[in-house]
Amino acid sequence: MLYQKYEVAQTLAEALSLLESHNGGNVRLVAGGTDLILQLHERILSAEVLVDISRVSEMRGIRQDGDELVIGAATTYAEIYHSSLIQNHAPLLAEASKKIGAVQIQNMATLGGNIGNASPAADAIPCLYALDADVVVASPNAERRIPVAEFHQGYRKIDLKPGELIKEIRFAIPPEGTGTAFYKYALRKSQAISVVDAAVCLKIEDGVIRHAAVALGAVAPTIIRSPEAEAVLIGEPPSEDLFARAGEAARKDARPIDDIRGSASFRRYLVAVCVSHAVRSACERAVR
Amino acid sequence: MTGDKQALQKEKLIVGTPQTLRETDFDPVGKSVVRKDVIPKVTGKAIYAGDLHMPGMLIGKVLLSAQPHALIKGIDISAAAAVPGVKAVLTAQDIPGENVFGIAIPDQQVLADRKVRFIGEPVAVVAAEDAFAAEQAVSKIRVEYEPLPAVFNPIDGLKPGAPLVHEKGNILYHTKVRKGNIEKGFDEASVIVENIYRTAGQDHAPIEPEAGFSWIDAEGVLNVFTSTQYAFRDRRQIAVVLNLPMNRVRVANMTMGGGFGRKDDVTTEILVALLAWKTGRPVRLVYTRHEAMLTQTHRHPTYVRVRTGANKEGRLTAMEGVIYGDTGAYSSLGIFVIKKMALHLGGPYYYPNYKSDSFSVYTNNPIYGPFRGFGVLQAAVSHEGQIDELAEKLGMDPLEFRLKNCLRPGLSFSTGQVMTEACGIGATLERLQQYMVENGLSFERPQEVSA
Amino acid sequence: MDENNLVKMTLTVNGEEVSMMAKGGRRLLDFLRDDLHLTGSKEGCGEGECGSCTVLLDGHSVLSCLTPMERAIGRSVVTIEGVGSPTNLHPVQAALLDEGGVQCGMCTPGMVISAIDLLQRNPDPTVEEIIEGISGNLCRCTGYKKIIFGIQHAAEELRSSGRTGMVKEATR
Repeated sequence: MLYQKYEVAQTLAEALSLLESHNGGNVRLVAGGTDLILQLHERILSAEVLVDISRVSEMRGIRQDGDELVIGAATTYAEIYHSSLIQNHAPLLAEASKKIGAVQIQNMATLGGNIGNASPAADAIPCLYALDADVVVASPNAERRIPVAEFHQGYRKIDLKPGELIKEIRFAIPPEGTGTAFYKYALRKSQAISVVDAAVCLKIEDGVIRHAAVALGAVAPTIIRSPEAEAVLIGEPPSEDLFARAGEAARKDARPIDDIRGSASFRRYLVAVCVSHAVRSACERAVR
Repeated sequence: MTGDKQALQKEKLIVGTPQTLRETDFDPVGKSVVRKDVIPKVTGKAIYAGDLHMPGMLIGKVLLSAQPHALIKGIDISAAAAVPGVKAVLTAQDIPGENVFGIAIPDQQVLADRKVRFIGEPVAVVAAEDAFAAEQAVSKIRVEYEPLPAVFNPIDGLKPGAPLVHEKGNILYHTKVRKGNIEKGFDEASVIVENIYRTAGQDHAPIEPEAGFSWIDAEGVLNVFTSTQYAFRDRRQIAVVLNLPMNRVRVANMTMGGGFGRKDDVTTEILVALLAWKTGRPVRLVYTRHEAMLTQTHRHPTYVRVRTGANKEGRLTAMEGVIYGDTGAYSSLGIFVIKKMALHLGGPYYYPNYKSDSFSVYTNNPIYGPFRGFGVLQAAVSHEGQIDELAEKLGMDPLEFRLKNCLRPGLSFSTGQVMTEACGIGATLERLQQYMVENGLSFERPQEVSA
Repeated sequence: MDENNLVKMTLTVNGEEVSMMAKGGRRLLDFLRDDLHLTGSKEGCGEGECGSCTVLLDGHSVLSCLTPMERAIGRSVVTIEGVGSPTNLHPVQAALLDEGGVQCGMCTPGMVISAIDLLQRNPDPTVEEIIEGISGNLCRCTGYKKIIFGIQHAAEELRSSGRTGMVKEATR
């Protein structure tokens, strides 16, 4: 058996109380299951109890709350890229969602799962870094809200205590004049883990970039921001020369490793390519 | 007309109304024929070996060697045998006949006895009531290994004092091809190009991993229904290992989910037959993708050094090459794949003088065997590289250079065989030339690859 | 073996109600193949790469090798066995057959399900969209071209007859 017991939570309170009742035991949450079931099957992880949170209504769907967008942790990538709220306000997240696995994976896998799995090559997380998103974590007594960059503490290490779960993701709706973009380089177009990816969110006022957030995936133990690239962009009008310089600057922040998908030097080269592509698309969208 | 209607009409013609059949009905040339196997395949009703089941069926699972080269000092199966639901845990000692098989020469052990030669070599095999019990049992088999120095490429394998994969030495086979006078050929050359080429291994990755299903029928015949390219050779080898007369073994080829050469070899057949024979129960053994990649054959990695000469007129004068093919721990078809590579090292071009040597070498890598292309693919990497470089040095168009040198009827191949037919390279290149002229295309090597 | 973790599997499979006790803690693929003997869904890789285990869960394509079986409780599962019969093929099946998009057949069930999932959402896909729609399904034999042609033709056939790709409607 991959696990002994399967419990289905219908509400957030139920999910939290199921977590609490099995506290101390080997209990894991399952949303899409695309990472977890594989890891259980290959005996990389073990679990006695699975708590299914895929039907918890408070953790599903995308909505606007004042000047914020809220994405439930159990929302699938197919739901994200079909959402007009996301397409209108954070198109980079729609782009990234389409690049994750293939159709079947997008129908199953969830944003909360991607955050919890905390892979440094995750595709959706750089977008959240670029959007300055917060992770909302729930426990039976309280909720806490943590910036996504602080939530990811290290290589596959997250700020989640026993009994807690990732409830939702929140970020401020980017103001008028903002452009966002995601660019991924992988060995195949689908079903491929990123060699490098870049997410960009920037705002243009009077023809000059006033705000810039550049996030990189698969080049460090966690997703990172590139302060070097951001510094190059801010205060400048968009130009091909600027896109190239931003890409070059981002290479200074990358700390890639050699692995089966690419060497460190290839990755450092790709950082410039991915960042300049993403910055160009973001600028085009900002002025439109 | 949709396919189902077509198929139904065919069905009716052949099965339903024999009096209307004419001889031409059996002539498929020029007609759209619905393959017999396609309707079961599109509807999911085709039965592959891994789809078979019977009441009382057990699930087989194999323990694969974790060491590339090691002596087996002992195997403790007690904890595995004690797992509830486990019906058999078999090692080399339990084999009733000879512990040997091999598609070309019998050099491979069914279950490793005393020594393992690659990571992924079967060491023990388990049958249990379900997949989880089988998996648990395999994880509880304790093998005590004494690691030996190992060799991981054919060039190291030929060095004096290299670890011996087999006692008889690491050279499995040496092929020599000689034609004309190689010294004279290079004397006549005004341009000579010499290079080293290396090609990597490759997995066939058929979507269906290896699968076999075995049971003893009411007449005492051992049946093996399997995913194989060669049922009769499997049958002969099963009989030897199980010490059974051939008429007690029946092998049937199920719908096969892709082979591409690797299912030419024995895969699960002997192991699943052994489990069924020992337990008296039907047994199904299906490899996971991971197991299949470890334990089955792959495409040969090769190391090639080749020298090719051409004269000022742009005619090839000579080619000389040496090939080191990594055949892994056992021969499989490593004799023939690497032999063929020696013949085809020059490609579809005419060389008046030709000399090649190929060595198929044992290493402690996974087994390399037949894979469509059969050595010719690896050769193509080097002969096309050589031809391009020669054309460049001669200042000739690469297509022109090829047309001038390609094999045509009346010219001889590396073996001296004079081509009389089935030699379409010239016509193909001429069509290509015509197409390029019509479309204003020319050969240009891209200087920069954009990411 | 643990005999205690029996679960009640109540669900709809290929339009029929299923209600049975089964050993829990397994993948949906194992339940379909081993318990219901619906062996049309294949296991090519067991890790979500090849797509040959694709089934529809509440109408959406999912990988049954990464789905816990209990997730299907109270839901509807469609496997290749529920798509069309030899005498009443779904247009996707008929088109794959006509175009020569079937060779060893191991990827075919998953490929058919993915194509249906695509045509349900997008009745008039471009070639690019077809490629994207089946990008989660690997085929080692055909080189994909004939599969893509087949799906194009199936889409035309469905549109010209005014039907959707939905299994019930397409095989009506």
